[in-house]
Amino acid sequence: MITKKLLIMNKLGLHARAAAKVVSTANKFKSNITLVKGDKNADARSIMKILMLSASKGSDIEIIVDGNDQKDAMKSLEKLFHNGFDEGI
Amino acid sequence: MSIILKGDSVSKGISIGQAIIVNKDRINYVPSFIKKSQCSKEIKKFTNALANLKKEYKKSSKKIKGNDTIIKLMEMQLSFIEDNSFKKNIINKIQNNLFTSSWSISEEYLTIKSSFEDIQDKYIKERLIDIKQMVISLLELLESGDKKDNFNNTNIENRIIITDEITPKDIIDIHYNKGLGVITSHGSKSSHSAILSKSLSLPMIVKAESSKSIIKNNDLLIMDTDSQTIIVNPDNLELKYFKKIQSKRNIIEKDLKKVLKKKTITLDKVKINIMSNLELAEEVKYLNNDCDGIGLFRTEYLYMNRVDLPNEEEQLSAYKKVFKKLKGKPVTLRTLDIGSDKEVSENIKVGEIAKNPALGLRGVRYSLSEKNIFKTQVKAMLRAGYNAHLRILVPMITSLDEIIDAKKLINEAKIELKEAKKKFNNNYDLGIMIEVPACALQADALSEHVDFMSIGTNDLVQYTLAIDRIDDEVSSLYDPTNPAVLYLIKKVIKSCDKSNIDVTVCGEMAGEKIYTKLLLGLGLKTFSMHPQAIPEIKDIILKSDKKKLSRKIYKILECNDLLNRTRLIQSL
Repeated sequence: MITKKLLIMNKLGLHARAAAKVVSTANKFKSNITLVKGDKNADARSIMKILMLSASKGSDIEIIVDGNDQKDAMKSLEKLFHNGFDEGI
Repeated sequence: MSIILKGDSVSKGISIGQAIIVNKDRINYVPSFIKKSQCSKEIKKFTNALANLKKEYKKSSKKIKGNDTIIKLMEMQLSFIEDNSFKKNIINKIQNNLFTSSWSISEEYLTIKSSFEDIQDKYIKERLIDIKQMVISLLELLESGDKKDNFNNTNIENRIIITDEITPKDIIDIHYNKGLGVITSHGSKSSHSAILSKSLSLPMIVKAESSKSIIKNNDLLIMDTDSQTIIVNPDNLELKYFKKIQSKRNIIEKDLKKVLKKKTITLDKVKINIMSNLELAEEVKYLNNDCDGIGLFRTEYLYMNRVDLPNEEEQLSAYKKVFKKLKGKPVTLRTLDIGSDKEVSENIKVGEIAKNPALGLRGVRYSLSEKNIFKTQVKAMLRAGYNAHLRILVPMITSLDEIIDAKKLINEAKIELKEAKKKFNNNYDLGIMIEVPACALQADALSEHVDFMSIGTNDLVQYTLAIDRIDDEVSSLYDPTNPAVLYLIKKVIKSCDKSNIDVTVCGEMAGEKIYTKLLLGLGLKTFSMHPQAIPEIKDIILKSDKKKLSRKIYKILECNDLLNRTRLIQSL
């Protein structure tokens, strides 16, 4: 299991389109992936749960990845977050 | 006497027609249970409904092609249906609490709803409407066993639909089955359904609260989205007035259609070429025969949304589709241009993420560093363009050396094709994109080394004015009419005229009617734009006198304040 804290950098935060991107990235891997913000957590394969985190720009998200391909999964998610979900920062 | 109802207009247009009321099943708030022995059957019923809904969405999405907004929206809607925890929670409820599937779904929705109520962000909060619409569709599927296909039938042809809520899929079905408009008692202006109705030009009014209780089946309605009103059973005077407005709008549309059949010649008899921009090879279907070719085929989409790279054969078949439809007219294929505002997929990203992608490894810079990716693409282009008019366009050129290096790689590709005994076009045109001021200023020298140039105004403006137009804080400063930009455009056109090579403007400026006369005045003879913009732009060109415009241009080039310059441009 690996964990990492990532910062939401895009203007709109984890809104629907960004959340959909997290889901499609998570679906490329087999590991269990959880997003944690404060006392709320979300399965990375659930767009609704991710939306409910209500994570705006500047919020810290802890990512927990557990499984055989955890390293690659984390790497992809990191890239996605760093890119501001490909929306520009 | 007529009754007038108010609502929120979502999309534009006037519709006059008879009402058809469609009752959509609402969310069930009454608990219901099953016996333990029915459990697995009930779960099956739910998962089947979910799978069917997914199928329905995919089927509806297929009806609409080539519209990026719609594709993205439908994908997002699908990700709600595929939601992992939604599915898990509902199966748990059936299994552990012995709830019926429909009560499980409704209860799960109520839980989601209360979580969403705590969300501060307005935009995220609004997505509850999309979830609700998905839940309603799912319940419909469950209740009726077979899907009651409310909108996927011909009953709604030429009717105005009155309903509670509407899903994105419904909108597509209504559009497909020729419904005239949609009025909902609930809903919101920013729902996905609303965005869809806008892009399909289907008149829609939401939040017309009493509409369902007042309007009866077959009532005659006037929907006027301009005034956000619905007139129920209008009197003759009202009907006459709105029919007149409606026909006026139709005449304007028809006139534009007539324009398409004419040759594109200015009043002073200068032939102008109007070409099309293309993003997906499939979009070529929507082109009619009136355009003079493809001025820009952005090939980036072939590389996106995938983990691997498209091989030569795959690209070949995509490019061939375009050549086949264009029947000998010029087709401009741009080599891969990634970076900056374009989404970059994992497969084509190299090294660390650039600090400043607009100034980083993009366009030809990327191609020259990833030579094999470039050569594979060029080979596919050369082969697809066999016996056709192929124009290869290289983006983000800043120096002559890059042109020479790119040519070298193209020659290597040709040698390899020869060795592999493949047929290819040896008489293609090679062109460069003018996006960087450095390149525009060297246009005289560069024009001797290429067969055509294409001005990408979006990037040229960005690099000249140091404005990132997707950055909200400075986007208001983005001004394509800044004299520095106009000077560069004029210079490039002049250089190309001198070397007798073709020059195109393919950026957004070419498809915006406020700039058409300005560009003509600057000497432009080839425009390339989104196909939808062609009728309007062509209409303006037919009514313009190029010579007169070019005389007026100097005043604009010398006018340094925006307000006066805008006035001068408008008075052209």
